[in-house]
Amino acid sequence: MLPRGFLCRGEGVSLGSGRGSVGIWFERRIHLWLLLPAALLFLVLTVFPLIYNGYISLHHFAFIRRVFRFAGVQNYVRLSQDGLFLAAIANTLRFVGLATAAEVALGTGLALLFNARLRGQRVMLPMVVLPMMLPTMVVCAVWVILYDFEFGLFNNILRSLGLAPVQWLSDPRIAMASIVLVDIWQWTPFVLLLILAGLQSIPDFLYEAAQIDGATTFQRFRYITLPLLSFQIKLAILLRLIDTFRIFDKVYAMTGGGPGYSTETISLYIFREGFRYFNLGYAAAASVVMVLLVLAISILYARRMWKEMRT
Amino acid sequence: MRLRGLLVAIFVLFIGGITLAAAPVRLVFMGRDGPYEAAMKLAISLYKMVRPHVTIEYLGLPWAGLREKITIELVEGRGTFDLVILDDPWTPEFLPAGLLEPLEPWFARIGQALSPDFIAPALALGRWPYPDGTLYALPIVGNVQLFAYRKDLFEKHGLSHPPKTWTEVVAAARLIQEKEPGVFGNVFRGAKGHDIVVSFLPILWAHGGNIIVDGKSGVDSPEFLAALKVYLELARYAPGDVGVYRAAKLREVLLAGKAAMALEVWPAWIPELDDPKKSMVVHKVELTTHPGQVVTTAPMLGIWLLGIPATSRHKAEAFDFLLFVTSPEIQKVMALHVGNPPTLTSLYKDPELIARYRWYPAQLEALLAGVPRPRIAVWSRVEDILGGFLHEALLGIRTPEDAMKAAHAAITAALAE
Repeated sequence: MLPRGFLCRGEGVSLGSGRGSVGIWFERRIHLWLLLPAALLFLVLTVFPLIYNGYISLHHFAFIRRVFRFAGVQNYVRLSQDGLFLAAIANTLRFVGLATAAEVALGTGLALLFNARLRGQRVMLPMVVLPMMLPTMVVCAVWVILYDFEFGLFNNILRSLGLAPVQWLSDPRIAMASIVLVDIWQWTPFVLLLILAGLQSIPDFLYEAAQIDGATTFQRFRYITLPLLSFQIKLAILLRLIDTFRIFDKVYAMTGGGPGYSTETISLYIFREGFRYFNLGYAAAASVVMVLLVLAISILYARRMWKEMRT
Repeated sequence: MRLRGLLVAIFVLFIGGITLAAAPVRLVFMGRDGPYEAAMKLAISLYKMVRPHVTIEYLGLPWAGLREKITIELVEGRGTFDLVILDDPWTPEFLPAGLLEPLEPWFARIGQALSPDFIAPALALGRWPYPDGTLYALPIVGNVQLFAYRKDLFEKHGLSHPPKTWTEVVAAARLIQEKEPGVFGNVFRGAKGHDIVVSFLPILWAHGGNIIVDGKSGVDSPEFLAALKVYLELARYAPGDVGVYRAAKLREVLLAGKAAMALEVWPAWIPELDDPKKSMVVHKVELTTHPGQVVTTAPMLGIWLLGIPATSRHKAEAFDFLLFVTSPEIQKVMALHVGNPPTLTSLYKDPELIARYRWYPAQLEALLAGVPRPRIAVWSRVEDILGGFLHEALLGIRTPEDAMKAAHAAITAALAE
């Protein structure tokens, strides 16, 4: 048990006998000492790799041939001229936008539905949440079968309705949307849980008071639910935005970046440069660009959220 | 073949081999998963009987994971592994960098010559400079592309078989697709990247084209364009989503009897062809060497090689196992029991093996005529570039001419790096 007043400045314990200057110095900075382990971990596991990655990105580093020489900004210049990398950025942004918007909208809708305390929701909720718990490779394997042109469920339904089958993964106009759909299926439950937690923290008396004042269902949703949920919704957007930006596994397993280059994403591009060609300097430069993009989007968004919270 | 008799033969064969210390030794072997793993584990269990003091730990990995791990391990030289399996296109990256142990001094040390029974095109892939430099690895899996066609359908429609040229293949695909409802004229691997490149190469080579000519891109050529047009013509008589087909899907369509021809099959895929539990086309599919065009048959080699990392701490024991696993006796057991395709000529003429695998004579012919992928260090990148643009041509995103020019420019840039 901590001595009384341990965390209060000037009144806590001191080192050794009596309250010497070292004790006071230590005591006044106790919050820093408590933060130190986490800060060290952050430095070693996050900051150092980022800095080292930035250092490598300024070099020509061919791992197999053991070539490592300074290249200045050559890797970045090459990236800016690489049509495939630019296409990968565009595809990634498209994926992020589509998946995040759909997951947050659907997740919010489902959360409202579950919050209405419908019959059978105790059974339904675990089932709805299940996709999120499955390994992504299993999810991909299942969806590749569903999307199969000849034998897949979706095309069988279309054929039975007299409609033409769709090339879900081999039509460049549709392939990205097909992958987005898989991500929506897997990650909407995450948004659902986040929003549902927010919904259940709204006190009932607010709704009861509004009802007494004659507010309609829509008005209660518009003026009570939505404002009080705004933080959770924005947080869900931020988290899904960061996660979808890293999209790799689904593309790797389902299309390999194809058809053509229509589902090529930044992560896949970096993976190929780094782990297939072992061109580490160039892969590091692409990683720096990706980190900067995610940081820029996240910081802008988080700052706005923070500002709104404070006002 | 009786296993006990075989073991006696192995014992006699190896007891007089290298003199090894009897102290316990643990070798770590990094190899492929799936059927390759089954074959290697069988060999390891037999080896344990003749060298009880040697324990071999096998780490089976999928293709991509194996490449990553081998690269990191060999370059960093930690000496963790004593034996590594390599896909043949990797050797131009690893061998010039001195990452594997040269094998000739080890043969000299035991006073044994390299067996002349090794299939020459397969053996050459383990040498650097290719094809007759220093030997760094021995071929252990004799993979080569074969051409598959439905003999019953060819005969039903009065088509001569096997087709001798790609022009005949296109004509047969068109005719059978028109006359046989529910059967596609042909099937191939059309997925972006490695798959589409591998299915296209025998057509390109048969047309006299090459990806690399004298160290430069050879893609911008009339031969390439002619081959690409044949390939795209064949796609018209293939399943609608052939653009996502990988090995499993090709095999599924072939075994279901839904395709009259498969532009390429690999020995590891086909033992199920005549299994009534898994195949609808038992004894209906013939396997043969590829059709030619300007050049006679030109199938692609896909040899797996076994080598010893230069940093291994147990080279003598690793070399002893290398000799053991590539011996005719063990290769025959691996072929009979787990279908591992041998790399020795004599085994393709073995009556017992031919009775089991009727395509072995054709496979030997294909191995002897086989063409390796270009022996360049940047093949992975070139394959991805080509695989991307071929895929765009297949899906109609680019015209054949446009795809060819774009691929040529990108490959030229990759080679210049």
